[in-house]
Amino acid sequence: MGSVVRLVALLAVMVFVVLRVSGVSVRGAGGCVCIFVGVTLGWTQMTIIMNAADEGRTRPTAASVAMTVASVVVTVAGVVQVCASLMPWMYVLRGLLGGVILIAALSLIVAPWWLSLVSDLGEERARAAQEELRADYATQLHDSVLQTLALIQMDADDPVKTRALARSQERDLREWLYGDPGAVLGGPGRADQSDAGRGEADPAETGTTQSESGHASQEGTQAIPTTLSRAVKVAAARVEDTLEIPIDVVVVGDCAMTPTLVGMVSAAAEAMRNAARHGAPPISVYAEVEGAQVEGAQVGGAQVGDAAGGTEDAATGGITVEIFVRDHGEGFDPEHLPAGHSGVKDSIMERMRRLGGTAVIDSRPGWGTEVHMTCQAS
Amino acid sequence: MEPTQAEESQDSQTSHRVRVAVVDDHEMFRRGVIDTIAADCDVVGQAATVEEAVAMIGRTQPDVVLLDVHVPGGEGGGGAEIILRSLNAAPRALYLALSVSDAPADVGAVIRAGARGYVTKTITAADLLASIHQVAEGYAVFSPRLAGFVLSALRPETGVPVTQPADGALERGVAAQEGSEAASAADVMAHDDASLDSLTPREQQVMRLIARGYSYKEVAAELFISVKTVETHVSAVLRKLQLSNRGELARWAAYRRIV
Repeated sequence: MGSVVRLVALLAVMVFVVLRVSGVSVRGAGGCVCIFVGVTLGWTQMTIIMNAADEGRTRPTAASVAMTVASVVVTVAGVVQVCASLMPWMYVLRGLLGGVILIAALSLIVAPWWLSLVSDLGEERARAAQEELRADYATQLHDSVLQTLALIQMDADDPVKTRALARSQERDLREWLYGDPGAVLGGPGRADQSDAGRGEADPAETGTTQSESGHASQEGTQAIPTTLSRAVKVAAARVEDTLEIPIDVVVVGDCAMTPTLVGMVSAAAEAMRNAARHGAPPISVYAEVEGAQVEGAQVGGAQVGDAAGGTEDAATGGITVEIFVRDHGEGFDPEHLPAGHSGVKDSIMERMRRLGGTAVIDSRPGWGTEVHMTCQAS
Repeated sequence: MEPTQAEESQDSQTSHRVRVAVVDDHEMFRRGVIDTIAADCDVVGQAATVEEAVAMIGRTQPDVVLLDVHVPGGEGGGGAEIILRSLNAAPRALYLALSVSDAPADVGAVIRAGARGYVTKTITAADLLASIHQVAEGYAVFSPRLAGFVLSALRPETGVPVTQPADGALERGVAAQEGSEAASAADVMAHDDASLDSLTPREQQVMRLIARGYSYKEVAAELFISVKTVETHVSAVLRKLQLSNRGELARWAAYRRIV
């Protein structure tokens, strides 16, 4: 910038000298110099603005705007001076008026075209940004799929393992493409999220921060889900991957995570593990959020389509969450567990009781088992 | 893996074999499906693009069409476009969407175009056959995911508490007043006049149970109604999905243009 100014100044002086030597009046020469300075400085400003736009800074800096305005003023002043040196002031003013009207009229004519250019530009930029994001996801996706396919080839003779690998990858891919990318185990925010603390970060705190992908990431590959639907999906995905049994997850409604809900999801994960270990497929998990208010409207369909973005602000008062974990195994009697299987009654029911909620276990021979957990969000 | 939707349907198998057409742009998958169902159904045609599909359906007049959602060709409307364009040529054909995607927009588009059910490609062979028979008999096929989707889209309005008589262990002992056959038939009819934009309490119960992974038989046992009644409720819900313009549903045109 500095060198440009110096160059322009030098040229301006030269122009002045040449004009004076040729016999033009001081005023005239001064006017021409002003025009010259104004136009060249204005031109360089435009170049600077364009370069900044290419690099992604769409708003011109205050300095640029000031410089542009200044150069316009200087140019106009120069024109006025030149005219004043050639004719009486009255004519100059009339000429100026004519010029202003002309500019206004031309602007009006050109305005629609210019406005559409600007809005197209905005759209193009947004689209480009989206494309970059998709490309990012795509790379991670492809990576992940390649690894799974390699593993499947290695374990080709182990049908259980192969099926589990395929299922895990299929689930993740489907969630990425058609569902909520934020709910994928080891989610998409890995590479570029800033650290929001270590593993001890309180999920309730991270739940209330407005993070775009709904994840607070930490060192390593695990991210803390900030909404209930993601938490449930991630928990189910973990159990599915560890125990290699498919689990169907359906979530209706959504809300922000609270410490109570973290405990509840943890209890639900326990129920899922039991279902996978002692029950039989099909294993279904159904979570329902009742009473989450977002701007007075009932929250529904947050799981359907939009990644729970709209529920980040949901008030946690008065929200009831129910989680059902169903399997189609042989059933068992919660009262008469074989020795060593104290898990269910103590763990799940006790946990829910401590959180201020309830757990009801319905288990019938030949029908299977259903664990029904209810809790208030706060 | 979805729970078997109606084991009973296979028992009430009609004497003629169901005539099925398969539309999918993945050749390997198409062959796989045909092999799976060939023993049980008559595969009368297959197609890989929208135009081929419309022509084939018009020519072969199948009972049930297994249809992928993303099919190339035509104007880019995929499965939904095929259904709409075949309405005149094959008015009695019934469509079952079979897809990898479970994006709401895809499900919404194809259901609103007229599909009677939506299952994902990870479905087991037995479940697929059961679903085909169910659709052939005129009933809807609801997977837990589709049920969840319905519950989100057609929730009762804010402030109206969802009447939930306790299900599971607590309800079993109670002979609910809606437990008898006659009563449930009556309440289905009464609700025909009710608004299309939300579910009746009974429908809500049925959808909830399906979302929890209950098969139609289990839902029937839980609510003390017959499987037929469950299927009737489910079909009514499907009709609402197809006709309601509430909230999310209004966004899904019968098919989207993909530019």
